[in-house]
Amino acid sequence: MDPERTNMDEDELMASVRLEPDKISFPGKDKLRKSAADLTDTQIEYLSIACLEKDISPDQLQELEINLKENSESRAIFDTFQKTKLVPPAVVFKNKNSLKKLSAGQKVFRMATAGLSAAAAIVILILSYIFVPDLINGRNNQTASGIIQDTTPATIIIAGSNPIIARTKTIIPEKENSLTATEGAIILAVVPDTLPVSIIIEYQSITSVFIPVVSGVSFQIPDLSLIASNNSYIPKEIDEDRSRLRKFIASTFREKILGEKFYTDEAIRPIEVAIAGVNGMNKLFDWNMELRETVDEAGEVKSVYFSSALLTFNSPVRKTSE
Amino acid sequence: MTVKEYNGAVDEYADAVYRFIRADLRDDDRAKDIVQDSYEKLWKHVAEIDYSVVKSWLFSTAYHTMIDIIRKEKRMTGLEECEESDLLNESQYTDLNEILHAALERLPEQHRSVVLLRDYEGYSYKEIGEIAGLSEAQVKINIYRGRMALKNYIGKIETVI
Repeated sequence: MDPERTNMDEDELMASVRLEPDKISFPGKDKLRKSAADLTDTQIEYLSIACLEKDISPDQLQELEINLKENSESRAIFDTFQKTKLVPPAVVFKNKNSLKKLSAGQKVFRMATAGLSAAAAIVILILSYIFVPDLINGRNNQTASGIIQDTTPATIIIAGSNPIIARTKTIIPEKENSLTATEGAIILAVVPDTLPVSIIIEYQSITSVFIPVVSGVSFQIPDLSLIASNNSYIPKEIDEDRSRLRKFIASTFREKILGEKFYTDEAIRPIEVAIAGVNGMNKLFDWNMELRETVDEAGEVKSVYFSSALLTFNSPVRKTSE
Repeated sequence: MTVKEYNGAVDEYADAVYRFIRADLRDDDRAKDIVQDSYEKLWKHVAEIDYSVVKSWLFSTAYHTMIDIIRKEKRMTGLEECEESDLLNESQYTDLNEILHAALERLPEQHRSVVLLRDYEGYSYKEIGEIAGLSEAQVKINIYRGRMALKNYIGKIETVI
């Protein structure tokens, strides 16, 4: 038998038994079709996360946007997921310096720098004591007679048993060599003069007082400022009395040694000197000691905190009534 | 890596590693210890490690140290165990970020870490996988589950408030 003939017969035979698909279609096909609005909550959740993670295709994103426009519940789900993005807190690792490794040269340089800083601090302190004698003596023990030589315009407090801070706007020249304080107050600016003059100050129970002044001088007297009394009243030291040099030293100390970004020129406090010392030793020996003040809600110093490898304490500050 | 590069790595990455571990552990002191420990390990291998991979190396080392600690303490708590009374206590939070971080504490450790690495550091799935020793697919699933849990937690809080 011819094999080729046999194959042809088989093909014809198979063709005759081949099934042809019916020309029918599924009647519910349209119902099966979905739009973006039909996305389920689970799919919205998945797409919302993908969107948050920027792991979404443009087509998926478009469909999600369509759904969100039409479906408020989907929008709520999407919005909630957007809230789950964490924001890192602004914390820093404080002991970074202790992690660093120094070369021999850097160590020598650091020690030299710390030594120079300490020396500079000592020099500043010495200079401040030399040039600012008020630091040592102050004016606390000055009496009226002493302060009267001061050329600073001043208010004088005159009191019987209790010191009185009085205020007056005007001092009227009455006679050639005298002034009278009016408005029931006892205030006087004092300037030494070769020609002694006097004023009479009267105030209810207060005894009259005679104080040498310069006649015909116009005074600008700050309210409630005080320099003297006719008794042993001790006036408080006020900031205006501090010299420019002291202010300069204080501000330089805070800026250069304490490294404060926002510093004042108020008088240097012992705790600040101590903090500078601790910082200097940390630099010098690569230690991690910490000395700082803790303040309460009102901004007043509550305690002093010290921490080192050997010792840690938090000492409350004793408040004295003024 | 040179000493200079090592010190540069301290300046550049110590804060980020500390933030990550601190947020994960919720313990400042131990986070500090882990950061220091990680840098000590880095210093021991300073000559072998290339600067280009030092960030992921540090995160990976810190992460695995933290995992060891957590496993020892068995402190993992499931979010599903969260009681409504807990939620009431936490309704005092006014800041959403605080609420999220409280929720984060309740996530399984692996979910928490991948979400933190993703949100804090912006790492890719691949980078997170390298740090945490997971495949990209696992990272993706963990992030998905973590986000779901956070979203559910926020939903519960809003319901309680």
